[in-house]
Amino acid sequence: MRKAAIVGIAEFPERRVQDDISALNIKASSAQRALEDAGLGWGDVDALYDAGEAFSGMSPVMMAEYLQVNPRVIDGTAVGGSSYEFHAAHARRDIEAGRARVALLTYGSTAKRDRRAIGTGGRMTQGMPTPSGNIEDPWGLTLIANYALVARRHMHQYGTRPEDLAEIAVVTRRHAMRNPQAVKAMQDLGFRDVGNLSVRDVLHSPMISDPLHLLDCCMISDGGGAVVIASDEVARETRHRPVWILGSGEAVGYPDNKRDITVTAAARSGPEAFGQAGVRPEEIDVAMIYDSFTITVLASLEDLGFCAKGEGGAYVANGRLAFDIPGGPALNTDGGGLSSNHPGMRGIFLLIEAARQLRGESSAQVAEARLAVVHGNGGQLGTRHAGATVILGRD
Amino acid sequence: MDSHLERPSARFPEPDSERYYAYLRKRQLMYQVCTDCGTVVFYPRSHCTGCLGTRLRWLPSLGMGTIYSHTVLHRHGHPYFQQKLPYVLAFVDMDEGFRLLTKIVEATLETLTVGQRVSVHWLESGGDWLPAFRPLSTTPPEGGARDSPGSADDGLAGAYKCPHAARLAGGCASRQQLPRRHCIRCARPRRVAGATASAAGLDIIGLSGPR
Repeated sequence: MRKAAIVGIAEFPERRVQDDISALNIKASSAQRALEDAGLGWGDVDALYDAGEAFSGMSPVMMAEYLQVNPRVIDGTAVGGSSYEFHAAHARRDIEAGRARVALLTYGSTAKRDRRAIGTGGRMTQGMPTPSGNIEDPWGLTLIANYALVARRHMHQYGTRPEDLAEIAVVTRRHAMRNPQAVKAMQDLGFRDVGNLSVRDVLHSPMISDPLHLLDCCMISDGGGAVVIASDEVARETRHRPVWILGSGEAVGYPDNKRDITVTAAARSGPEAFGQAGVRPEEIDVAMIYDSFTITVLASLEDLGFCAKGEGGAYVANGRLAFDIPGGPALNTDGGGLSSNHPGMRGIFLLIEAARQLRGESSAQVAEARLAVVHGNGGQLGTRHAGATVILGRD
Repeated sequence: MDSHLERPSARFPEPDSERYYAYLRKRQLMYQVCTDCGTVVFYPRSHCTGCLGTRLRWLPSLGMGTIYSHTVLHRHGHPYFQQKLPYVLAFVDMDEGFRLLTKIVEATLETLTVGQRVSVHWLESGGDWLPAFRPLSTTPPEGGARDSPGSADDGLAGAYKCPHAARLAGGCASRQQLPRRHCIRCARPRRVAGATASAAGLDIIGLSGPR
């Protein structure tokens, strides 16, 4: 079913902003450019999706007011970095149901400028007390440590090696080095070595939370972007080749007393999305997979069905995920959160780069790319997280 | 006000975890079981997650479990935890059937493995007692070989110390050695960790001190 398509995209160019720019400015600027990209205007927007990163409450309403648009559909789903894959899935649903014609997704963050210690920070003891927080917070489980628990278990259960995880950082950096914005980001953010990485580089970078090294972890940047999703009749009139949403799936993962923590929400969202699209993983040209950490990618690839559970280490070897090597999808061709940008919730960039690929506009363009999978993961992989998978295709 | 130099503590009112903490203050690790269907419920709740029942019994845990997964933290943004680095957190599968996020104290390279049996080790924290765990059948390291300050709250028994700490003037105080040829703090060469460490895949966790 080809009824909803990505028709406009914009990525905010700066990864390190000055004091005179807010997250809200980034959202609005990106929205304006994405609408321009589509050949649409503010008045066309009738559905608004917002993850609440720029407002503390009532965010879809506050955003509608700020942009002065009049949506018939609002959606404030806020599930961390995966919010934008959920938004894309919901926009497709709302458009297919005939409730909306032009959906706008925006994201903006100044996490770097605000020096938010997302990965190692004390996010404990904020907000309302919760039973899980009361039991976990006294131990200081950082975000990185949370993912590291998954990585360690994966290594134990399947024999996965730190070298296998490092392969993901290596191929992603290779893609980043082809993307001028990613290169500039790494320079602006003060990366020590802006250049291609070796597995050895990753393994010799400082250990943050065993077994995850510094170069297994995404960066913290500023930034944002916007995506416009439209109905088929609108899409056929817009400026670029429509990027159709062919399928989507959503799931959550949380701890219970017996769960295998190496299995992520993707194990349920992936089959749903592929099933709806009538597509198999081996047909996928481009895989935009949330790379908060290398382990996130490895576990997601397995759960999405690119290889059997536990075989991710062998699967990613020998550069299989490079944009110019056949035999596997091209991974995070913009350079990903590991090497291009990660302002805290990177999901929107997955949609943007997948759309670039299917338009033929990527800096690491896969020849004749026709099908892409986008998988967002939000929250904390070892404990509670959300995952949404979106399958995209071109005519 | 939270001074941030103290461990973040549980906050109340929070009815589900209130009683759990009341037991902890008496150094009792308790969990819930549904009297209708037998489901083990943890963290504590007011309803059964297995059936629609609401009659949950509190039962004492014997405090024995098995490490399900673990990580050694080397960086932390919170001032309290910063001073504890490096330290070990783990999921422990308790014998009674519930899984607990906890701290592992007195771990060594050999005992910090998935599958390691552990038993509860109570840590005092601002009037509360918290259930940390320690490996079973650990041979305590000999006095001189142990380079942590010896606080019961210290995560690692064998945290690697820069070999230049004592021997050179202006010695390096780094206790967070990384798998490099040189110390990240003083840039002097380090000794390479033992072969067992590499074989266990743990050479990178900074645990492999001169023991």
